[in-house]
Amino acid sequence: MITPLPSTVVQPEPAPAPVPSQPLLTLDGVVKHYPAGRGKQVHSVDGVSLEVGKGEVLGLVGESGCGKSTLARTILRAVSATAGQITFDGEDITRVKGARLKALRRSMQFVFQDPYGAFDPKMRLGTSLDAPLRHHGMKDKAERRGRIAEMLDRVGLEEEILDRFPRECSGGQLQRMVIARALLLKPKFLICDEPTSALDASIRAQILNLLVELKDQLDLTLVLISHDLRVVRYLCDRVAVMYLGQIVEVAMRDDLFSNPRHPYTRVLLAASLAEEEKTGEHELVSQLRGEPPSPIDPPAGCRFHPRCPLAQEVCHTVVPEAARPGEGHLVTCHFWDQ
Amino acid sequence: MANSTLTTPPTRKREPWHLSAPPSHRPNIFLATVRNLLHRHWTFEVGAALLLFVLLVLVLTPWIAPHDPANQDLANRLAGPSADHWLGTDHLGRDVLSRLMWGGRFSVTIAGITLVICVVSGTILGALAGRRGGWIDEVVMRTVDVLVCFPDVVIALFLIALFGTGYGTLIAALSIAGWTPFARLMRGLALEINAKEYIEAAEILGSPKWFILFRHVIPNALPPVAAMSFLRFGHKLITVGALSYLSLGVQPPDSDWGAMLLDAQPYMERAPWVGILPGAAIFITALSVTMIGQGLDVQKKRRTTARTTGPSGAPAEEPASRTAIEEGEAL
Repeated sequence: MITPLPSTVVQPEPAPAPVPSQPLLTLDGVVKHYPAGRGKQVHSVDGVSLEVGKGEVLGLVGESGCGKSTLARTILRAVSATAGQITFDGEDITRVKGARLKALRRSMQFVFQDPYGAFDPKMRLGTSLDAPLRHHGMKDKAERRGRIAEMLDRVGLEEEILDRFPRECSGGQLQRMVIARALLLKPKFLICDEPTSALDASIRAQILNLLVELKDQLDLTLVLISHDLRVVRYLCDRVAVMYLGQIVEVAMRDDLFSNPRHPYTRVLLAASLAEEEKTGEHELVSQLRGEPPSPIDPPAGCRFHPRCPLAQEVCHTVVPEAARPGEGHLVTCHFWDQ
Repeated sequence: MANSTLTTPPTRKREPWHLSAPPSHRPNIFLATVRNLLHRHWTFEVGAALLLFVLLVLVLTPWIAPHDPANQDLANRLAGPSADHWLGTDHLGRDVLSRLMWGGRFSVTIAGITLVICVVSGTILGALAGRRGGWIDEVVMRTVDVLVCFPDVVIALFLIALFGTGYGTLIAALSIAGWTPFARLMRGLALEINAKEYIEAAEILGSPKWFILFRHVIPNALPPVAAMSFLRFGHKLITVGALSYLSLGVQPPDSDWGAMLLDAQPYMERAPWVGILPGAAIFITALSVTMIGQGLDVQKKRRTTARTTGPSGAPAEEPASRTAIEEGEAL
């Protein structure tokens, strides 16, 4: 079903140091609801608490529609949180405005899923890259040009591309441009929303390797949103699994892949890992039942219970507490130890 | 069933970018525009030719008009076409052709200025309403709602009655009456463009609001707005004519096509050409601009359908991607 990553991808490195001591980003009960008419709300993000350590690569996985992208947009202040608190680099950014918000834009940036949609079709790429620098006070044209040239070099593009329009470029080139544009402002924090899902399989590995490279060179902290667990396994230090607006499990990468505790995580792993990698643990649940429930009317109790193979009476009514199966491992399930 | 594979059009595979020729370095915009114009729908070509002719005549009027438009010749009233007066004379013996040429300068200029004011103000107000929402949206759109309840001529009549006749008032009145369709169109387009990722990207990158409005939202809404401007020009021309016909537009001693219609009315039976000709002038000018707009519209629709259905319908020998690039560039 899923093609393996191309062989150019290097094997995962040994497990990194556990649990970030110094969080760069802290989410505390972040909620984002959208009005859905007739007084109802879409519970896109419903109480997410999470920490992202400095220099860490955090993977955020989950089905489409589970609120991953909304969470990213909330963190980036593209939309405002309904409730909760977002702390970035020691500062509460949940409601910052004006000059502070503009300064914040320099420290956190976004890599879009669809590179063709991320650039204005009527604007030359050069202008698209030049404008943000100008808007952030870099008055000197030569200096801007120099910064752009340096960043193009880093992402492996020729300066000639600046004269083109987005539709004159390939998806891979454009995705490099998206990354270059995001990094022009020298952010320390980058959220990548499925950076490879719109690309050909042959380009994916290149872009992923580029992200890893840039992360090391520029000392970035990365949140990688993906539904592709192989990508996450290749890139991330820590993984958070999201289901219907909530984080159901967080663990270090190796911990999560070898010892998944939440039934949803197990299902995800079973569905996406190659046959030979499956262990008895993964066999526990082979298939999900049905579609995810509507986020307008999320189920009571544990949100996963209507589809959960382990669900029992208590799951229908009682919201599970977060349990700690191990160091840096959080899971919200009543029966995580079964 | 068996021949279903034959009936499905062959899907053209897109060449990988590194194998196809690289797009030309900064395509020549002028050449692209010329080629673009030559490939328009026929209504565009006919309309453009007509309009070009009308404009040329109006621009050259001071040099080519055969007579002074105010020169009366009471001995030669309501004369038919002759070698001296190609289109005859009116009730004061003035040369109809010269009066048409000079009158057209007023009609077309006033309609043109009004249209530009309407397009600019309507587009900016509509874009603001669509992008900012809130009270700006409410104020702008409720004003539009009120204004569209009345025909343009009625609003202009009211304003001219309040402030008196004159070119300034005339243009102001027509502009106040005419910006609403552009605001409505632009607001809808702005709402659509708002949802695009590049707008979100600009916001996340910290681009100021004016930049997003003027460099992202409005440029991406321009093709439909341009098409609509062409379609509205005829309407403007007729409104100017109607006001002059009611003696509230261009005032004597100046005279435009509408005023000529008014002058000709009592003599419709004796000398119909005196009335028919200014009417025809309005009609032809309005038609030519409308045809241009329609041609642009058809072209745009073709292009979008070609884009959505893929290149299977396009002629095979055409390097589809290249022309699409240049066409987009020209707009």
